[in-house]
Amino acid sequence: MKILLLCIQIFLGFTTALLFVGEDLLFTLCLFVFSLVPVFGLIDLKHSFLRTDAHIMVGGILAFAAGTLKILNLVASTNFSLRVSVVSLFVLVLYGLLVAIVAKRSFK
Amino acid sequence: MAIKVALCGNPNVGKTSLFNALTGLRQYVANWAGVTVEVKEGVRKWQGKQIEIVDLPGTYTLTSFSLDEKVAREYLLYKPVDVVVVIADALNLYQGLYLLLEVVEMGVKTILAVNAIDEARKKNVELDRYELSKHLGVSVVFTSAVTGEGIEDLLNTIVKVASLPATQVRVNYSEDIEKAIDEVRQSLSQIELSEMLSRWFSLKCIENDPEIMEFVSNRGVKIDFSVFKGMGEKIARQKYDMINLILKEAVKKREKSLNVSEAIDHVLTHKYLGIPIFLALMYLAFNFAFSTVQPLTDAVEWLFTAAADLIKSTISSEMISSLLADGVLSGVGGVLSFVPNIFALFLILGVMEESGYLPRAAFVVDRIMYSLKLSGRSFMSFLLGFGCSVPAVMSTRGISDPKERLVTILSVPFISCSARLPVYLLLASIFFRDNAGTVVFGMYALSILVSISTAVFTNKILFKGEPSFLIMELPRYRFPTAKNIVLYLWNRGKHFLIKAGTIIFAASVIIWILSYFPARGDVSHSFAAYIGKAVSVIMKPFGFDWRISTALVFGVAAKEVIVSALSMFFGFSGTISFAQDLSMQISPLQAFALLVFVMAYVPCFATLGAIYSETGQKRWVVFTVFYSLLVAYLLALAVVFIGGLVL
Repeated sequence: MKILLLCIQIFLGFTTALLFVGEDLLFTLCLFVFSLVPVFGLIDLKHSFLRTDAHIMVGGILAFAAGTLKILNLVASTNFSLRVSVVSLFVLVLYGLLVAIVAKRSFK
Repeated sequence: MAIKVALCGNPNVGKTSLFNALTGLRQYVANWAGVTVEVKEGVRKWQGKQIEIVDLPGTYTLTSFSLDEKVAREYLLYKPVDVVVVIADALNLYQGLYLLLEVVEMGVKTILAVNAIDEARKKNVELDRYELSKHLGVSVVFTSAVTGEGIEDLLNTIVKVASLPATQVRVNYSEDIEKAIDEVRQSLSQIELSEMLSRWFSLKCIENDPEIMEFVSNRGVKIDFSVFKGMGEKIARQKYDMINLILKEAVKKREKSLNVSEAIDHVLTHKYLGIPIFLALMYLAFNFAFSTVQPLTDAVEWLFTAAADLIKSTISSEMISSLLADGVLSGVGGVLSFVPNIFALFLILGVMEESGYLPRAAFVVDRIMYSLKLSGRSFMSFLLGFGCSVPAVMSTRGISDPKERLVTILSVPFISCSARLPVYLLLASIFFRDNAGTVVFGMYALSILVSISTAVFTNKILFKGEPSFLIMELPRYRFPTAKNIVLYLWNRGKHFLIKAGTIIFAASVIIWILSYFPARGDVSHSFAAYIGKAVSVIMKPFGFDWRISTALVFGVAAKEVIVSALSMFFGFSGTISFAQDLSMQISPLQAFALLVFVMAYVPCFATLGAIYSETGQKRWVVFTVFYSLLVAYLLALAVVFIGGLVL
């Protein structure tokens, strides 16, 4: 289950990052960095499940924060339309929030 | 008669929050150690008594080495108070009780305030107040500065304890230490000290505390301190053994598995991910502050332009309408239109600070800083520099090594403070409209690079120093409260608003007078033009004309004045707009050189004053002025030269 959650997070993160290459290179780099968080979560699987949960939770929070700020930025710049990159960003934001809430339950 | 109370405790246990709750004041608080570097005072009336409360800087022990820690100890030693309230974190009593034992050993009336009790309950940590009080021999109060719990109880206890005689609490050490204490006490008998204080001085002598040793030696007492070698560690160990025994009785339930704070730390302070995450978050913060908030900035700018047009159309006197529209509104409005950006930046930084993330940033960059002969503690001063260089320079008091402290003082002014921000935003929005956020972020990144390079240079050339180790207690993560964020925003942003109403207003009027006279409106033959033309000779390589040169001269008073001056000099005639006039005068490359020059050149007067007061030597002020001018000139020259080759 954890592997599946991590893989979806990684796939969504990198896909959205790639979709923004032409629009905003620095934002792409940010998403790329945040997508590395679940990647390291996969590596931590062999050490501790709790550490993996930490990666899922923090990766989700970071994706949520980055996506929300970018959406606000797009709305403010009147460059907002429901194109593929933006839809992907929305999915990433919602997924990030969801997995962060789920993973938080593992901790006190 | 007033009751004098001192609040002391480890860094970041909520002393200032408790001080605010007790006094009703609004001192700046943050979720990281070292915020209070000086003594703050407040008054509260309670049960008909006047209680004078003093907030001391955080300290772990009373054997202190950094300047802020020394402030706390010296206050307790030389300015006797009626009651000392030792504040300890409910989730880190182990460290807090060590300080408490040191305080009670001085023989002063002491109260233990166990703060953040609400957070302890949330984490299922139960504390037994009776057991704590019984074993420590002092009154214990459970408080929460956030919810206000226990504040009245604490005030009642202060009044009660102040009226009672001091209880003599003694920590019993092993036989060899007690014997050593007795020997030193006999030698100290010629100095007039109370029984408890004489024991405390003896302990500090045995611990080889340099200041106490000097104090004793200066009074003609001859003690061979070398015989006590290693006893200091033994005393500390025995105190901690005692604390462990007390906590075993008083803490009913302990945490066992990973908590949320530890889980977040596992990722945010990760060996490989920590720094990239920090950089990415900083980029997002700057992008939010400069791009997302832009419509608000445009709206404020429009308001000022509309007001200026209204004045010009309604006031018949050409001179008065020019003073109000071209002078005051153009100068002050040019700066105030960036208020949304500045508050947005502080909002994001406030959330990062309040949540407890910023100390982690210092922790993750410590390895890099150490290789540059600095510690993460210097990085905290650099972070403060994003707000204002003056408190950043003052915050270096927390750095224990004097050389490292001086290196940080000399490097911090290069960090882009909020005063430089309007200049960046103005030029970036005119010359790099589509990439304004990235350009401003780049300026901030460059300012960090220049600061660090300066630190390396000064350390290597002037001091050849080694850095001190970073010992930092990472605060727990917490959700920032709206109240604290508003307080943070106001404390940081109000300086900007006050400056706009005072220095920038006055500077705008002066600049208008210098631009209007003697040619009555012909700015190219004004006093300002004469000043600028003299300075512009050295600015020739960058292609800056007299107007930009004059703006840079006035910018030494406060960096925002550059915006006021540019707003007045360009588009003064009214035939073309300010932005059009400026973009016709300089190319984007020259604009970038100007940005770089503004980023690095002479800090404002207030910062120079802070450098003088912190170093106590004029030569460091002179060094800062000439060094920053040289760096700014060389960097701007490099931009023009390299840019000329590339473009």
